[in-house]
Amino acid sequence: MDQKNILLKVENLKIQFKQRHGIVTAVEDVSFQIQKGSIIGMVGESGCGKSVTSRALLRLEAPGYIERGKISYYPPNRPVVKIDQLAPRKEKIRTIRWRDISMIFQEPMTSLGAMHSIGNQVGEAIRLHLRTDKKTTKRKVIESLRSVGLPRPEYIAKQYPHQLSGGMRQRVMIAMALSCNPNLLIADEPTTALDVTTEAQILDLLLERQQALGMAVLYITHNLAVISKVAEKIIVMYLGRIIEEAASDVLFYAPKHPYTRALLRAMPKITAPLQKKLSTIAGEVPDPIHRPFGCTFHPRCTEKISGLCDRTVPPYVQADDSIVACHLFSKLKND
Amino acid sequence: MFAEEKSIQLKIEHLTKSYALKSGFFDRQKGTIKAVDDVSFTVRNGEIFGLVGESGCGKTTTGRLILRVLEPNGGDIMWYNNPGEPVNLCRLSNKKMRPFRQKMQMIFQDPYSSLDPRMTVMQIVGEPLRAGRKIPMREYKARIADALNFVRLHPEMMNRYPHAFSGGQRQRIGIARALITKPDLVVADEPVSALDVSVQAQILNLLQELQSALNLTMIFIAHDLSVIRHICDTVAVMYLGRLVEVADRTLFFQTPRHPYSEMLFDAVPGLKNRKANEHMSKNFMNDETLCPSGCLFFSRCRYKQALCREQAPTLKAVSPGHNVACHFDLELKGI
Amino acid sequence: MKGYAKVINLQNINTKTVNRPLAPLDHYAASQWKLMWLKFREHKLAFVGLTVLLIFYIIVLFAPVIAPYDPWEDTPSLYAPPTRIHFFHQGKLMPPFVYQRKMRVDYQTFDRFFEVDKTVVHPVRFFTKGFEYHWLGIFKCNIHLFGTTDGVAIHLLGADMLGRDVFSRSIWGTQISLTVGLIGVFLTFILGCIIGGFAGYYGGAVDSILQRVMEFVTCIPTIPMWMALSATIPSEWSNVKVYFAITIILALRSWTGLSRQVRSKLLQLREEDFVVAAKVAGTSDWKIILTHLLPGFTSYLIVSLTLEIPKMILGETTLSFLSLGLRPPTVSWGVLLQDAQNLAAISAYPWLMFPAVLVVLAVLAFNFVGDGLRDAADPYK
Ligand SMILES: Nc1ncnc2c1ncn2[C@@H]1O[C@H](COP(=O)(O)OP(=O)(O)O)[C@@H](O)[C@H]1O
Ligand SMILES: Nc1ncnc2c1ncn2[C@@H]1O[C@H](COP(=O)(O)OP(=O)(O)O)[C@@H](O)[C@H]1O
Ligand code: SF4
Ligand SMILES: [Mg+2]
Ligand SMILES: [Mg+2]
Repeated sequence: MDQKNILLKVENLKIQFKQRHGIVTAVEDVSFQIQKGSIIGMVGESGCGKSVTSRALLRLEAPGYIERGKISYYPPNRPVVKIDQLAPRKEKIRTIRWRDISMIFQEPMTSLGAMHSIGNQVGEAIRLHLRTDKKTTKRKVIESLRSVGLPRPEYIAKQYPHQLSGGMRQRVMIAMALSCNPNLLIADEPTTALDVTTEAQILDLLLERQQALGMAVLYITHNLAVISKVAEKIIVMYLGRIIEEAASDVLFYAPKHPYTRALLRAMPKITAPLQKKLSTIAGEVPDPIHRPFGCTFHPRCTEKISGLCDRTVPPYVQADDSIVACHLFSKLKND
Repeated sequence: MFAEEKSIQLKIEHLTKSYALKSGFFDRQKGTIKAVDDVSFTVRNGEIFGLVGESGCGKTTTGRLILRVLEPNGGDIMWYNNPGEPVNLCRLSNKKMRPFRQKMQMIFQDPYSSLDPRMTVMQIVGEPLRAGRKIPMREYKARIADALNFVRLHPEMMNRYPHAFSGGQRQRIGIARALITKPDLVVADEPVSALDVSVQAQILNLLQELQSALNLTMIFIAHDLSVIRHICDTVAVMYLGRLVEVADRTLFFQTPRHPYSEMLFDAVPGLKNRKANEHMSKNFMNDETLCPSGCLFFSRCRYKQALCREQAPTLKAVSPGHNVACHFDLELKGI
Repeated sequence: MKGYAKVINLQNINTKTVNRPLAPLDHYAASQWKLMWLKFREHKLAFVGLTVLLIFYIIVLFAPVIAPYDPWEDTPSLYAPPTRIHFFHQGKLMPPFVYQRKMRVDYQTFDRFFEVDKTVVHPVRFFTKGFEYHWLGIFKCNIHLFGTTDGVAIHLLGADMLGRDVFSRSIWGTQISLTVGLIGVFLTFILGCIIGGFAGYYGGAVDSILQRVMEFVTCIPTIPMWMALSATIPSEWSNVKVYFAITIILALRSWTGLSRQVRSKLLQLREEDFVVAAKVAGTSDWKIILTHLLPGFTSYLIVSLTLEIPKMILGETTLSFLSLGLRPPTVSWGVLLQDAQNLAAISAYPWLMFPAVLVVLAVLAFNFVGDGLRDAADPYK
């Protein structure tokens, strides 16, 4: 792969949480790369470690901790930053947050303070990171609110978060996240709490801004369909591991991993002929504290190979154009 | 068509509900918001009637008005499933309403807030039973076990508290509660919107199965057209408190006739190439763009003409089984 | 790819009974209170606080038994320093005992000093007979936890200016000081629940007006309000009357916090889906209040009440210390601390400060318990 174009590289990341019942491994052996200006989708059911992984990129993983692994950030025209070695609370990582890598969350209410007006909050972010004077800040606030399609930005700047609808709040978050022209935007399920129409609008907006500003986007969602037409590459996670990684078309039309396949078939599709019943994946995602041995998906897998899948962790293998972690594709199976 | 085969279960006529808009120091009233505005439709016995629209359009309010959890400002709810004359539920006192309560139940969107965390599954599922007549403990338990079996939960789990269950399991508990009185009508308010895709498929299958097994009439609220197409016999599209299109499923998905329905199709994730439809992100709802005298959809409509500004269209039949509230006889592209 | 070509039979995926293995099973069937208790136990400080409080209230219950002397009885040992408990008599180990002390006055300097008679041993005995009292106001009794059989005084914490035993007085003081809080909080609870309940249940104009009233009361500075109110208590009132007047004064200030909580919790719970579900089921309004709303906020009520008690204890102490609350001969911690009002007294007779230690202990204990309860109040997070 083109080494020069890499923006962010994650290698063998493992994140754990200490809990009452013991240590929970939320993310294990996760590796991926983000190219400059690309859109990466990350999918998986809730609890599979999407948020923990993405927060770790900004060192916001607390109360969890990085047990192992590397996160390297390659800013253009600057030396590489080893994010995993930065102290989570120190100055260095804080300058990277927002300015280089910024993030939007599922529930914008929690990241927007309730007590300050929209204008103040967006202004604060701009002023802190770009060190602009009062007048420029104000102009930039209005500019950025307008750029995310909010009508009457001067009026909205004076309003408080609870006076806006969910979709509008998410737009404000996007405006804030993009106000410093980051190289990477992490969007952690920004549309999950919204209805499909608003979701589509937010997605369109993100795409438009991405094209205008040329940043890379890591778009996290639990719904494959949302990013199918958008992302260049899609990473599928299950129980803390990446189980498949492929270009978006490949993933959709030739999914490899049994989980990906089952997931795709479980979605009601508006274009498919009407079925009487949807096919489902049996059972539920196990609690991370009881991670199954071997392949974490094997208790629910219809194609599991007894004696192999329940014993050994499947390695990542290249299968056609995808990278898959499944014994159906690994050499071990034939031995 | 259908109308001859199946008898009428419920007829809603001119249902209206408005809320006071308040603000200021002493909560002065600043006007009213019509959450549900002159809504009329007919639900036939044993059908699944789908209600779609973006959030805030009044779907939940409609559902709760029908169940008389909210008091309507006007309109009638005629209940036909009754020996003799149909009964107008809106005219019943709380006491007279009680026998009907057993015949109509609700399934909620949020599997967390819909179950009281302080009650055991037995108390939760049994609540509608106890609200009716006195019932011996033996029968009470047996019926709860039955209801849990219905939704594929082990009756042994009866004594557990909701915190022991995952989102999907909680939704099953909610369904068991709704079905325990063997109701004739169930209002399902976005029962799968908050669930993961794979769990969504399980719950949809379950609902479908139970609906045909018990010959339930269901009002199914959703914002996702793929789900609606999978499960509903009739589709009603709601926009800002009004119905803009009501049609049989096949007619609706072949040729939607309202511009707003077209917009909903555009928003279906993965259906259209996102990069191609630019118009979405710019068009979204805000109070400024409402057009008081004319069509509510005016500001977002692609087909609007001078007439639309002056005159509000009413819902009328354009072909058998297809009602639209638009001045023009459009034939739009479905799937 | 080889494996993929063989991809087998995808049609047979069934929804089976879903079962999820997790934490120990009894956790699943644990009620709200049990979960709260489990969470509370994790909070070490709160647990310590709870133990301290238990001891305090045992003292309240058994105060006359634990206190060796009549708290109002004057003795000649004015300002006697604490009595030492000895274990060695002439180099020999013995069960605990005390020596008798005699006060002498040096008539040149008018200094008082105590002469210790080291010849006779007066053993400390448990459950000795002493002055007569009515336990719980009913049972006539004269047993005390400890003392001597031959009438030699043990002033564990010394004596005050009238020769009264400070330890006995502090122990008797707990009865007033720790119950003022309880009764005050009970009144707060009633006021807060009714007013907050009205505001939350009816909403609308009632809510607006009551909210403004609450804000108004909150704005009045606490101590001046207390002072003004207690200045109106007639001086000829009996001790019991004054006691109740003080509890009412304390409660008049503190109901606002509680009623705000009740109100917002009610408003929040009223919107919860499970309340709507109960309505759909046809459950009557009062039953919804009893089964869903009340249990929903009792845990929060307990937390704020627990945190309100120490404020009341401090309130009583403050008022009494400023001679605006309870008056002698009533003994409460605040009244006792009046004796320790000047620096000279504190430096010469530091044991008079002991009630302050008790105040600090009690307040800390209540606050720790309150913190623990607050963490435990919502065990579902
Ligand atoms: N604050 C936390 N404390 C303990 N465990 C956590 C915490 N946050 C996340 N986890 C663990 O990490 C797993 C992954 O969580 P998350 O990344 O939030 O999932 P999602 O894919 O839904 O974003 C969870 O299943 C949980 O076990
Ligand atoms: N209790 C209420 N007070 C004031 N306005 C309300 C209330 N409940 C709903 N509304 C308003 O009514 C409209 C319809 O809401 P709702 O029925 O919940 O929509 P949906 O379920 O389609 O998302 C919204 O604009 C909402 O703001
Ligand atoms: S009536 Fe006019 S404005 Fe309304 S939807 Fe139809 S075309 Fe658009
Ligand atoms: Mg997440
Ligand atoms: Mg709703």
